[in-house]
Amino acid sequence: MLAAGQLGRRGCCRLSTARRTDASFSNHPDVALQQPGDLMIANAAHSHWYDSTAAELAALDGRGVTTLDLGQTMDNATSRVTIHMVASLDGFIARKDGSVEWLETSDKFGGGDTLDPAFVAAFLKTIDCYVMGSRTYETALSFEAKGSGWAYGDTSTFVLTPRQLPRTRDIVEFYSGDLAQFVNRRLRPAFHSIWFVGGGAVSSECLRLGLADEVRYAMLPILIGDGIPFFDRLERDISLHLADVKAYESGMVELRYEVQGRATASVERFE
Amino acid sequence: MNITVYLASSINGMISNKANIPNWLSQEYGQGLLAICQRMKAVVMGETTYEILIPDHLPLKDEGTLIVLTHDTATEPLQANVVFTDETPPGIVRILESRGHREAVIIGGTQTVSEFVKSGLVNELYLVVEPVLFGAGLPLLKGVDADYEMTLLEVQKLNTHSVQLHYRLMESMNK
Repeated sequence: MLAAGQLGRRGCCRLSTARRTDASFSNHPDVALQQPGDLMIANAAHSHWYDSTAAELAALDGRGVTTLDLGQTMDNATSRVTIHMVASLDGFIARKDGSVEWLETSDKFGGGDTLDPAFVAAFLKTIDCYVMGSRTYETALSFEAKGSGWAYGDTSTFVLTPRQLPRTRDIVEFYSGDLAQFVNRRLRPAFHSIWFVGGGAVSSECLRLGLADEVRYAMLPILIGDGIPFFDRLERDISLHLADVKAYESGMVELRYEVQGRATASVERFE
Repeated sequence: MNITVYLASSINGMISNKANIPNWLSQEYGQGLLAICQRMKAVVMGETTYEILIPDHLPLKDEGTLIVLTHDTATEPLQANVVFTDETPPGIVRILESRGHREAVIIGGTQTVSEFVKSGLVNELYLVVEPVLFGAGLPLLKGVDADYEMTLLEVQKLNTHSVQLHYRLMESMNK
């Protein structure tokens, strides 16, 4: 049996000064997203969005901030494709109407991990590119238009869409076509850490085609009964290998899974 | 009465796959289920769960009470400790209390769990998260239109791949 505080704590410094404030995502005026499937943009690993002060980061209290796993080294020569998401315990990423104010739960899990903002920032720097669908991109633009800033910093961002969308910065590129070719021939040779950040259709296709190496699935301590599922376009069941379990002080539990069969695919790629 | 829900789910919160075949469940989940049923000695389940378990896998044999929610209450049960009922959750609690039970575990499925959650009668939830994503299947809850915040009590790895999450349910909140 694991006590919660022992769960895979690798390099997470406890923040004795961390306190809960109202500076978190759910109280943001933009919380009612137009495309609920795309709320990942706000609640996933993208603390660029929050990075005005270290205090604000600390106030996140682990919620919505990626797990910090030093086991994943920065100089890993093998590229990794990660799918990241945050959901209610009953598997929803937003209510039917797209609202996500429930992301702010009030649980306090004694002994759970807290996050050192400097470490969060360092971890985010290990992400080399983001991949997203068009609606996630549009949601990011709408946040920016309302003064909330661009969520993905200077990190290369690839938008999968055949649509003509505004290209607001040099680091944004558009792609339309075969996803497997794009990931294996374009992204993997150029980037180590490749993060799919939504929506559900893009991430499901990535999994379905066997392109993902890992899934990071964070569960919040709440049942919302009904809502938008993330993997509803998966089309088949997919088995995964549990790699890491981490419980946070916020009551959030993050499960990190390796995708079965990826090792074989990696070999083929380098032939 | 203290009521606990004990379920296995996919990573994305589904308690059964599309075909409703329990071939994805770990041995440790089965052991955990049996242990909690035998500890509490009162088990509540829906008709579909009952039909998956009979004749050999009902978690109580000679002792305690197995409540099965069904509209077909006239059928003769296979075991003397099985009670077929179409009562509401408060009615089921009364049946259990009249038989001397002070705690009970609900073991599935979606409809039974949802009815009890809606009635505000569930105190604790165990979810054994198995290492699979389901493209389609039965949800943990259905037709529940309130939120239930929970307190995480414990996280436990049951084996290499299965994680048991244990929560206490807080009072429901209107959306």
